[in-house]
Amino acid sequence: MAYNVLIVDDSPAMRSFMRRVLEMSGLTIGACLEAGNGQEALDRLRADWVDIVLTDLNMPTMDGEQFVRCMEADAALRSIPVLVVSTDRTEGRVQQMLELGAKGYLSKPFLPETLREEIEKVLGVSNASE
Amino acid sequence: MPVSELEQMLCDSTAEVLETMFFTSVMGDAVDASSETPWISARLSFDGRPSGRFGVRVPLQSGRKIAADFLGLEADAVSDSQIGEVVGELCNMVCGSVLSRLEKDCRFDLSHPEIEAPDATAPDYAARRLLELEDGTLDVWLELPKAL
Repeated sequence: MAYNVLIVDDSPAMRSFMRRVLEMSGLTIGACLEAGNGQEALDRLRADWVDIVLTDLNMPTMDGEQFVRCMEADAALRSIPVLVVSTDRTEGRVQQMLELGAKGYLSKPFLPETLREEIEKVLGVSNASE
Repeated sequence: MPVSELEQMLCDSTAEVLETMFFTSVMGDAVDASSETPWISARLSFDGRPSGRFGVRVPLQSGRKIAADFLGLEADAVSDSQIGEVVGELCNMVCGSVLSRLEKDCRFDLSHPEIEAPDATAPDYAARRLLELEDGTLDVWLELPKAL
């Protein structure tokens, strides 16, 4: 099965890095969409279906926290799993995002294989490419 | 906290970030990088307990190599704007790592990294490490209130 992914990060370099890591991960990736902030991401999600969202927290216009709140408040979007990818690794922040509805939390820096493991965990699959 | 401890944190965090996501390593302390010019610099401020500023500074050629490794491109295919974006991302990640070592239970709000023109100089700092990488030099600094 090919997974459609939305990468939400205000840094084009980070989005390129994530896309590259996904390609190297062994996961079968279908469409790999991108958005530069939470508002752009909501617009993309209302136009295109994805299997998982990978989002940064610290972004202009709409940050990751508000984005997750908006997804949870939208019946059409709340079933899409969200994996937060952030430099903020404080326990309180991780707990807060999970309570808001995120299905996983990965702190930067991370190894490419760790991203794959977290995605598989969030999607509820194992060894997806094998 | 002694400056030496802060400087060790800078070194450990930089090594962690570079080895994990930039596919390069810290070789040790750089002796003298004054001949390497121009430089590109990224700095950000953070609010929390404590608040302060953080920055990284690299010779442009080192920045190009770091950006190429991060983006999976050949060095000559990397644009100047991509170098700035990647150095900003490096600044963001190393700062996050340093702060988590400094106060692991405190939440910090980080500003977006500001990229500064080549030949930017390092500001006054509380702690600083000039590190030798596999392909160049990296200057990392942290500015904190004097009371810490």
